[in-house]
Amino acid sequence: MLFNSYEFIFAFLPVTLLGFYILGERRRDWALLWLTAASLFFYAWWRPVNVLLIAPSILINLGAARLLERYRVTQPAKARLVLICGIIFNLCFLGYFKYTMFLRGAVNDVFGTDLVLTHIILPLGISFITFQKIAFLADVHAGRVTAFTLREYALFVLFFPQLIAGPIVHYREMMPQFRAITARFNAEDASVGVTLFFMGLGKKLLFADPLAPIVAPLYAQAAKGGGLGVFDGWIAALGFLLQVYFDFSGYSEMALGLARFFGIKLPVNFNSPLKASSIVDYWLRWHATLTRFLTAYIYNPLTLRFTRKWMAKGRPAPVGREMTVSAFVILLMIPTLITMFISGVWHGAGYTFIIFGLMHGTYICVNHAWRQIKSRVWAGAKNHERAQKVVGWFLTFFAVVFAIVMFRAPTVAGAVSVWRDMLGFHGATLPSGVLARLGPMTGWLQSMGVRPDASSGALLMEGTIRIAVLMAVVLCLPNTLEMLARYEPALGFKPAKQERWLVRRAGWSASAPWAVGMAAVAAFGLLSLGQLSEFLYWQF
Amino acid sequence: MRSQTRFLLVWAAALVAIVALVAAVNVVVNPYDLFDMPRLAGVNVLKPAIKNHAALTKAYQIERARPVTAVLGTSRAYLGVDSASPNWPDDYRPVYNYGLPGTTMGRSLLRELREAWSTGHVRHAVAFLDFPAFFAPDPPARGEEDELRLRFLDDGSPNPDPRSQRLRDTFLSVFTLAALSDSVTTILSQRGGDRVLDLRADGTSTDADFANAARAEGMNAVFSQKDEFDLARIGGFQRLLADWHGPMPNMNLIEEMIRFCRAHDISLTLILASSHADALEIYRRGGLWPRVEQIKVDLADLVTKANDPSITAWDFVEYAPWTTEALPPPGDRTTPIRWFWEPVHFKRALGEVMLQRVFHGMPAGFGAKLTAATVDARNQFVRDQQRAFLGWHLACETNQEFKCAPPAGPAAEASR
Repeated sequence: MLFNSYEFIFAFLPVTLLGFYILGERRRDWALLWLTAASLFFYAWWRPVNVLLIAPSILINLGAARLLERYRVTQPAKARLVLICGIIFNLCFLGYFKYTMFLRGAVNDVFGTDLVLTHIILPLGISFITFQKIAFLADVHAGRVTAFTLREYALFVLFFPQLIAGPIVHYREMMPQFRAITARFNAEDASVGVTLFFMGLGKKLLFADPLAPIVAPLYAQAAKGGGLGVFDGWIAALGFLLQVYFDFSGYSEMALGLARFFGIKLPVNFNSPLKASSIVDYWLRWHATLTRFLTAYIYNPLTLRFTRKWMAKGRPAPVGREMTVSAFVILLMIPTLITMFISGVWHGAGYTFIIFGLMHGTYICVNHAWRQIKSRVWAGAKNHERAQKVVGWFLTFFAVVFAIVMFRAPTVAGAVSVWRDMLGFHGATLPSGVLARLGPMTGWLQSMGVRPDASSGALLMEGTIRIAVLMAVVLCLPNTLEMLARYEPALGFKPAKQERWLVRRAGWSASAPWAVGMAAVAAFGLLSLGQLSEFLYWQF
Repeated sequence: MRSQTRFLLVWAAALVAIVALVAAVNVVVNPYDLFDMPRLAGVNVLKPAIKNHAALTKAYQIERARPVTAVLGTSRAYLGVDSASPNWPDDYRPVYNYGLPGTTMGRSLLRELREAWSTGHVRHAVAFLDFPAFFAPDPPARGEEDELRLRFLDDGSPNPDPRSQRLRDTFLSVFTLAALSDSVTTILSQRGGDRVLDLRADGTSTDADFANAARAEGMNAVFSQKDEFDLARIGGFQRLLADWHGPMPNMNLIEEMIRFCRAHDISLTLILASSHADALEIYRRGGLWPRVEQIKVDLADLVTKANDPSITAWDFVEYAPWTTEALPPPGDRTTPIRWFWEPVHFKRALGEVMLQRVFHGMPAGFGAKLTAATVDARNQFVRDQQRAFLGWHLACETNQEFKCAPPAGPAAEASR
């Protein structure tokens, strides 16, 4: 069931909320049980067989967690074995559904074999759920989670606002909240929830979805080997970046809003990443809970392991600016590339996703390298900070733009073709209808080598205008979290110590103008439900 | 907490009010002409939003129009045939133009015929055929919205549940932002005059889109764009037809139409519609002219086999003065041409000529009735026309480009 569907908004959500509040008036336990059952129904809606897949997986993970709890202190070796088995089980579970076909295809590509490529239907949200379960086992093993029941664990895994596409939450940040909620109607939670949910719905339906018909034909054409020209190349790149930006931003806010209806605050997952002035900053803002997971459970253990080995050989501890090149490569670069490789593979089973991950891994390495050397090449921290804000933003933005092409293109060759378009290798063309209407610019453009073609002028114009407007929204306006900061819209999200003027002016309050404004956003969102479209991140 | 409760109440009330207001605007403006509402001056007399919703609109319009004659076809008929033409015989009126843009002949003709018949009054069907549509079979399309709202499915069986789709049509036309956007566009376009696309209640469309493109880019550029499209697909036709035996693709569709019309006592006039020589030359150079002639032979055979005077076929695919009109040079955005918008979309003026020829026998020098007895002579006649035409345009032929003026005589005749 999609968050942006009639059946979800007008049937599932009201019934679930009503049941939750009514049962909550009598017994809190009943309300939470109802919430778990509703979440299971939500998960089963698309393909009931999904439940048969996820239920045994929940029970096996719970069993593993019980063993970990038993052995953790008394028999650490056994506990470690259980943890490894649990992680392997979860990775195999994910791998079978998500990567079997890709691996078979890769074997065929490399060895020229003819393995049959049977399409395996991916259970919804499997990548998110798997990571959450692995994090849970690791937390139990580390003693960060000590008490849990089947009911609580099922609710943690199945809680529908974050079930399909995150945020990737930790048991230890969710369970205290579930244990504390009253399960009764709360006007503040409801009004903050309404605002978050419909802001998200508006972003998805009014901003992200209209870009799809502009962008999709361009990538399809590039995949067929057709050059797009420099203008369409940039529209393909920027258009998709903004499409996935507002799609994921919209989804994340809807998830926050839905959880808030039940009195739960989910962690921040998306916080204006295109305002980032470094690639490290970017990944702390884009899909922040994935970054958190990858850092805590892959990057840090790898770095720790490599550092121990490094120091075991009697080498000096790699500290700050004194880091040598070999220390940088082994202790920073390799863990980063491995982590971002896994991030790429997590996003999708395909060469394009692997390259996407490695591109970002390389960007991060460059970012780290700059941090190491900047003091040597650039004296004056203040001066550097000011310059980095501008230069860093440009570098980060265009690095992200180039990488997102690889993320979206159906093939590596298609992505390379779009890059070549963006860099002008395929020349520059404009629809003849547009070129003819540019007045005195027409002759000048033609003298610069711009040729007319038979593509749609209306699509080009619409794409250009939408991208310009949305870029202004992305870069100039405060985000929803900032506007709602006084009401803690996400777990731990508080107002900045020095709020920008615009944030202060545009801060949300429970006032009549805000109510009417949000009603307009909600109305326009609801009136756009006619054309259903899936969230891009639901496929992961 | 009280302010939060008040926020929720105001929000809910405003939400209901906004949605109700949007619905009211959409019903009154009626941008897709779905409802039987009046066209109000300054509000919704012109209906530009129909541009991308013609199949939706026409499914509802034809029921209200209760026509005796249905014009069937694709965008050629949609743009080039006037339901209110004085050339329609009296017993053919009222006429509804069911030509649908953005579709293929194979997908639309039978669908339109069955739907027109289901309105209960149709006694005549006039189908405008596109000759390139006989070069490749159309893939079947099933289960799409445009089919599900009709009374018959594409396989000819009655649609068990058109109501669901029609309810959906109504809902989407009232309760969507897209409909509101189209309503606003409709209102803002009312002063646009002939630059605004419109669809009359009798299914006749204005040709504003082509007119605007011609004004902006010039006729030569508009022709060139279509030429590019045709040239791109000619290789596919050549490959398919290299091993093709028997009647031409999609001819079974015509056979089915004849059977349907005879079973339901409907007269059927098949018109192989005119294309400009610019398009004819592309297919001739592609080696497909023998196939063009075969289309005419197949049509003549089908009509002759039917042995029914109410089933007739007409051919307007030829090198007549009406189809060889010279194009203005590239860059000229002011000089119009009289009979075509681009190589295959004829203007309503030429539609009138074809109707006049079919129903009143004039002008005798243009078009011919096809029968098994006359088709060979007809093909020979057009071949002779072609030869003469190439003689006029030898220089252009050498340059592999047809953009030259025909000799003065026939052009003058056509311009009468």
